[in-house]
Amino acid sequence: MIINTSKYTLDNGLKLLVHTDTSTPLAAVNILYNVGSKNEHPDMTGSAHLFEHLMFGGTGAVRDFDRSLQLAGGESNAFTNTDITNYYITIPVSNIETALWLESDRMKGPDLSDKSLTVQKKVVAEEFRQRYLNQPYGDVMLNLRPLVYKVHPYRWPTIGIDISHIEKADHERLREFFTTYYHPENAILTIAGNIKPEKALRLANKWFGSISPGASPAKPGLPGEPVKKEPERLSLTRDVPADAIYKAWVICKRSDYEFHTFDALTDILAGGESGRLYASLVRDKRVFSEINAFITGELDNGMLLIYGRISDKVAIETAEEALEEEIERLRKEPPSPRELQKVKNRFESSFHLSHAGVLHKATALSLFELMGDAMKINEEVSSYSSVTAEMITETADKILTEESASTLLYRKISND
Amino acid sequence: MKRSEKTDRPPTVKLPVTGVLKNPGIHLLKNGIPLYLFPSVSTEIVRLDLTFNAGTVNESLPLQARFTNVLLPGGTASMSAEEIDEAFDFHGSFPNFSVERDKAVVQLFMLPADFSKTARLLNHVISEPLFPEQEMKMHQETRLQSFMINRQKVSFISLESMLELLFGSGHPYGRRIQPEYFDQITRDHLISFHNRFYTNGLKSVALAGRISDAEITVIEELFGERPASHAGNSFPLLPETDYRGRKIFIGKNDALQSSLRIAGKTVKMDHPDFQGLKVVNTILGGWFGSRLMKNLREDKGFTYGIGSSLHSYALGGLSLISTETGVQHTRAALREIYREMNTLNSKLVSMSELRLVRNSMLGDLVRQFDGPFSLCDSFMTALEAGLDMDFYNNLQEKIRSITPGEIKQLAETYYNKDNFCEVVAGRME
Repeated sequence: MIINTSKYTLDNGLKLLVHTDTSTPLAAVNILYNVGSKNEHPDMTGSAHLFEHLMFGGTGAVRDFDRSLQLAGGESNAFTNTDITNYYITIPVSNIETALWLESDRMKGPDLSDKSLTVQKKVVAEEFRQRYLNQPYGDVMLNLRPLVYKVHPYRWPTIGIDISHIEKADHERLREFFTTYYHPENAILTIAGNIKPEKALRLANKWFGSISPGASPAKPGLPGEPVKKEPERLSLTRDVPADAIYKAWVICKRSDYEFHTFDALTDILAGGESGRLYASLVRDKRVFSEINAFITGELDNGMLLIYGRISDKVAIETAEEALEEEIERLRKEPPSPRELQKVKNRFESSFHLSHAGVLHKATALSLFELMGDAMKINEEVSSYSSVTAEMITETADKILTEESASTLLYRKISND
Repeated sequence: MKRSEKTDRPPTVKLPVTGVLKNPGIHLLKNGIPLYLFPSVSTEIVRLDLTFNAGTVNESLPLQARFTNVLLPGGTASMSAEEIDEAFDFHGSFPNFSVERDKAVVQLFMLPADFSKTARLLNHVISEPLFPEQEMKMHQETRLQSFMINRQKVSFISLESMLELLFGSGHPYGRRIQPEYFDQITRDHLISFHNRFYTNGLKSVALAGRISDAEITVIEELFGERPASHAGNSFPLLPETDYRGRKIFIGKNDALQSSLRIAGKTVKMDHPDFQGLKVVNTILGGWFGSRLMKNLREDKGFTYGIGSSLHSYALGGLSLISTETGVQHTRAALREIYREMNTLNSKLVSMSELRLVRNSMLGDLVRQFDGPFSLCDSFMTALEAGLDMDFYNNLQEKIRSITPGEIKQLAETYYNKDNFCEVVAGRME
């Protein structure tokens, strides 16, 4: 099934994508801003995500964003990651103008009142505690990222390095952040639903057309991450129920040719329960109770991450050795034709599963447009299918080396 | 030249409508088991749901239902667990085995081209499981480890204590899992549970997504000969419990947040008050713009999120308020929750708030019925309570017509703080 898309650019530089889907009364409006935690100043990490919260705090013209949307039966949320800040609304298509009105209004600037800022800082601090501090292994990314990245701003997670960074965020720097990143030229608007492209374009012009392109100050460039010559290791003792191991490598960019090879490679390792790591290390050798491998899929050089929780009474060293054997096997032995066909079949069905519904399609289209061309989304299945056994072995051998690995160990507090 | 259109006032809002929801097509299999059909060409995927009368409520000892369910793909006489996993994976299909209180569901997502092969494989796996000792041992270990992790989370601790308080420690709804249960469960327990509640426990089949007559023929062949589920359930009766007004505090010294649960028994989906109660619950804490969210998150910043929800089980319904707050806010958060409950049953809701909740709930229903899979989910939820799509049609009607007086009356009946119990896990400062 082809995901059809019409593309436009408004006079102020805002990109518009329209996907027509007549099968649903629901429409999705997605706005991607090309800013993530990688664009933050190292002294003020977590601000992209804090800003996402502030964007729901109303504006001079619309006091209550949520209320206005809810009256039209709309629902909204957003996420921030290392690369982007993405806002989305689902709404009955009959009320789609309400969504466009609200998104265009807050593109002109949210209310950065003391009240809004004070409350959202507290909410984000609670989010930090709930997700990262108040549960076992919650702080893994806070410890792993600085081990893997020494230079690139992927070295801090989106939530930020520390709660104190969020607490000290002030009006002036947040306003500067807004001017730099929140303007039509730095955004992609996607409308999906039972709406014709011409009508969507007319409505986009009506609501967004008058927003000025913005000063568009130069965005600071980002440093590349040098290849590691020495392995990195960190061992932490924590109140966790089981020892755990995390191994990570820096991989290619999302838009690079090798990306799908990395994707297939992690699927060979951990795609489903028949993946090699589960079959060998959990089911057969029983050294791990849970194991997984994935790529972060970040736009710059992302991570390939393997993590496992070690079985009780198995030494961390034994488990790590068994894991290393599997990595070595991947570097030397090409996957069998059936193994490779398996991950390709799985990729095809999971692609269709994850792109069901207007919202998922709208978000994915925006991301592909950011990478260069929304229509490339329709090449995903064939790109993945063109990966060969040799490409997997070659890439694994080149990248998954001992010297370039970062290893993080969580040891549980001993009760003896 | 760009057309200039007036944007100085907000667009006019239309009331969201789903239209009248129709019941799905039903095809009765030879054995009388219903096959529900939710066809759609908007997806490439087909989903098969098999619902068994095999929930935790049927357990004769703890973990029996869960272990039987999770070990269904653990191996048969002709296939090992690994071969089963590999076969599902190879066909790009995603099996999903889940257990709830009153039922177990075996679900399979796949591309239609592989339907016949994967549905046959699934049938083989769930009909002839051997529950090998080796697989059991592995699951006992890994599940125990996950359980021990969960047991450190305040949200898990508070939920377990609350269910125990409400339903009693002797009843499957309220029984707490203990670490030693993971050792006590044996292969024989699984074999007998499987025989009773899977071999003889298929309640319904559903197909959603890209379906055609070919898939229906396969289902008829595979599941049309099985014995249908015995009529009527022999669920153990819920004991009367003395939970009203009880407060339990479970200290956890290293907690950064406290988990708060306030709950009481209310009514099930089939009760005439339930639809109105949905509106009351939504106003209090059932959505992002609810009073609890506005007060505790948006106004005071005590929490990342707070919600209230209605749960309808075969043996009873409950109303539950849950949140996690910074430990320094524990007491203040409790105070505010009770204040909101009190306001709800002492003051009339304004028309402007009611309009907002009404439109938002109607918009949610449009979302809830978008696409064949969510349509199927909603129908199955109603079916579980002995209802059908009319439940949602009536719900829409109730949302449109309910008055502030009715809401206050329902709140007085169902949101009286004296009829609720409170559990806090974490710290009180």
